[in-house]
Amino acid sequence: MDENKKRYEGKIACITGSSRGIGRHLALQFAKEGADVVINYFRNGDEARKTASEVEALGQKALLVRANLAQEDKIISMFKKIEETYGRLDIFIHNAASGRNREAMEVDAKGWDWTLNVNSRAFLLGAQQAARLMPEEGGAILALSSFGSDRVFPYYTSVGASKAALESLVRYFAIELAKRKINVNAISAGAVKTDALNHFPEMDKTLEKIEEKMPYHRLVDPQDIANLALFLCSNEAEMIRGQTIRLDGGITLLLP
Amino acid sequence: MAVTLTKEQIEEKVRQVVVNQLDVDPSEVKLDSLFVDDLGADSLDLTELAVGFEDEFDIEIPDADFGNLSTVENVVNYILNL
Repeated sequence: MDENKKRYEGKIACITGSSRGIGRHLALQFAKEGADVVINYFRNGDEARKTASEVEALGQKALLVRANLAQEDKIISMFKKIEETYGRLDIFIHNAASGRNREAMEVDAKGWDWTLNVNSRAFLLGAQQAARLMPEEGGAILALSSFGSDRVFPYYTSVGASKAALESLVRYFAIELAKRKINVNAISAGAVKTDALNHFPEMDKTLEKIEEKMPYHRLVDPQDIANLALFLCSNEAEMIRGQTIRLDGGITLLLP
Repeated sequence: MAVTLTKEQIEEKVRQVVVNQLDVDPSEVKLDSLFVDDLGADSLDLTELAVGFEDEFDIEIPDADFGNLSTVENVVNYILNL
């Protein structure tokens, strides 16, 4: 193998929620590996434009698309823009996530709908649109989940349930799209240090507890996610299909 | 945005967005009512409020700016100064 060859040269990757945090890091790492990227954002235009210029500084193209992923028409017009600009898509990563963080007894219909729409339905609609733009030689779809899908975190009710739906969708798409050489998987990480955690009440205490419990005594960071994402979207991972890979330093294997 | 709107018209539209998004009684929405402390908005409500104002006036309000807008009056002045 040519050590200098970039793994994603000539590929187009769309990463939802990539103005900041994990999504931003993924956009930059895919660009480093030669991909042109679609940067989707909703509320953080300045940060999205910054990410785009960083992608361009790496010598790759960046298409900025503002879209509220809770709205079907916005998702569809995002993919129309991708089609108009690049004519195709090779990789779709649904990283964007939102949620109204409440205990189960406090979850209301509005918060539930919003959370499920952004975290799960946007993946359903996005994967349908993405697959339509993927070439005959195939592609990859990846979802960012969390182990709140089958474990219980404080105030994580609706997000946890939305991630369970997400992981289930990954399995269905993986089977259905295998014949088109489109590989679909999910990464399930625990708490990854980004600004998103500021939205959870009492997060500092929770993080300290998690880090102490981690067999490796460090939290998962965005580069850990990028390393796995770059692998799962490559041909090297072609026999891993419909899986949710835990990226957790081993913590979920432990009893409390 | 439609530059032809008067301050009063903007104020009325802003109030209407607040009433719809926060599901509160119109009488509760005063010029200086705080979205969070007086009208009970949480972070999702604030996001929806921002989107509601953006759609209503066909503008983009960055989060960095919206963070400083905590009342109807703040929003009206922000829109007038665009």
